[in-house]
Amino acid sequence: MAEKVLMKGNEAIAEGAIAAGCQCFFGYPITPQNEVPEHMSKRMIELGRVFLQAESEVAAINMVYGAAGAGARVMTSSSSPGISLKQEGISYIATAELPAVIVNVQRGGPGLGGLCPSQSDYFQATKGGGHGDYHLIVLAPSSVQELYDMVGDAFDLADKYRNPAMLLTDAVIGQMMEPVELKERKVPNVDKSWATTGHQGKRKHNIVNSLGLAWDELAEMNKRLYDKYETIKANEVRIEEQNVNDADLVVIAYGSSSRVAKSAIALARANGVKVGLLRPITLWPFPSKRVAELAARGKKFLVVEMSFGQMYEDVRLAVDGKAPVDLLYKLNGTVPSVEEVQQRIESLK
Amino acid sequence: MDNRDIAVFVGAFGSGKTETAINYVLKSAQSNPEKKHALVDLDIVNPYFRSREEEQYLTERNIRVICTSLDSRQADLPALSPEIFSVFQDTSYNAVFDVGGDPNGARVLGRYHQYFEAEPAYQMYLVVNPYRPMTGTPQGIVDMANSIVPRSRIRLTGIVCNAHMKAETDLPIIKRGYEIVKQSADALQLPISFICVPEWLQVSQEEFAEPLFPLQLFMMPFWEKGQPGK
Repeated sequence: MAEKVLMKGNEAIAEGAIAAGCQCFFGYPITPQNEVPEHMSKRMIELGRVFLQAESEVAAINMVYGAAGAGARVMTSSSSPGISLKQEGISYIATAELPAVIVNVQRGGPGLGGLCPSQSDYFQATKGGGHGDYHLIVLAPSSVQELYDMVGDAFDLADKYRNPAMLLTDAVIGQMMEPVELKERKVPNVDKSWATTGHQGKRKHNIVNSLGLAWDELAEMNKRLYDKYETIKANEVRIEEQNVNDADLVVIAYGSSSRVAKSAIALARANGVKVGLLRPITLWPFPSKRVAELAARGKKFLVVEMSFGQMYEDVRLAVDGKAPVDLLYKLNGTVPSVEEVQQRIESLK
Repeated sequence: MDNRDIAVFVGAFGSGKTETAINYVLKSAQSNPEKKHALVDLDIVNPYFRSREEEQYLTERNIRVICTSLDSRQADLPALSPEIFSVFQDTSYNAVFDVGGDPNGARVLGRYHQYFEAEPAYQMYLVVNPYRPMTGTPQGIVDMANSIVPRSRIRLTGIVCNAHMKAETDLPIIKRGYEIVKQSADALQLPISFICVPEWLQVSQEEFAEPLFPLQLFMMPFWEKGQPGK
């Protein structure tokens, strides 16, 4: 086992990206993710890799587009309003089928919002976010160790499917400190013969773009994306479950809310309540099939999230009216307390 | 001038300055109830896990908390309150200064250096957690000290060993960390003033030559508040 160090979540994102062979980082400052570019600005330079503070979020995402097109392992990070600014570029990257990693350390919105933790960018992250029919692969870590590990998973998934992947976290996990094992990570050897690296007269031009002016060409491009998303949905769903089998009630929560939910579930279990946890690790693809199976077995559900209830809609779609789904929502600026989640669980038993 | 206690806590980002400063001022207020006490939050580097979050708890214990002059305490604006001067002028205060991380955080002290120089008994402690990446070696700690001091424009008087791994902390972890901190303290020719240990961990004073300082933990994630370590 590698030796552990005590790291802030944002530092772990940066170190995890470095361990995963990130070659280029482009970003622009915004709280609460500033430690990501700050850490990268020291370490990437030490390692002879590329760190660049762009003039804006829009510039940064287009630098990501360029570096990804040239075949580099590339990442950007930002927080909610900054991620909104990047959406046009993300749509282009998804359509051009390029691998890239986008980190969103969410803060409270909408608008300029505030610096408090929040999970209100769920829709934006999982439903595309920019214009057109597309999806990002969205990973939702719930600890500092998972931030370190999953940023590498995001790179691997992005390469595997030539699709941008998002690490969706928030100000709680980005700012908190936990012990982290800095595991070494094997960087897979990926065929990037599609990259625009200069043909040197030896092959046809590689072209990277997201334009489909001819109707049939655009339809074909969309069909290709659709088929790819179906493959991802079939193969890449990741969840964590605790005590689901004997549970009458299943709490569904991700990221920092799932940490609160775990503490509340442990207390409710000690009071004899049959309650379990389903934590989606991939928010897209969403574990709809597993939720539907549990609904068919007569389980009730409680969704806990720091938004009006965004993931709640995906849970209800999966449940399809076959089981009751309750929602404990927190509006921006507040994190649910262990006591209130426990009380709600016990009121639903 | 009254004989009073002025303690300044500096250190690397995430070294435990806030936790140490809060505990220090609480202990000071407990053992000298006849004195006035103030905690000055000078952290203008990062808007999370700052001592101002514990203002109510501290105020209830007769500790005055001085932070930003802005209404929004969650703002990430580098605004210092004019109220800070009052603890220099009213010498009946014992004052604890919780400074932001790294040399950038210490820069704010330079603004007040002449006031510290006028305080013959001030202490400035470098808080060190050798399990943090930038201060994991004696040389890393020495480099951190040498970059903080010129920015703060006041000299260090001691090192606080705060070797921990959150809930995974045990005695061997503290001892291993202490060895690294001790080497850096020797190189800097500074004493280790005290050794922080989490309150929930039983450690005998006989294990160390320097005084132990039990820490009641405040800066916890929401789902761990009020719960002890492992």
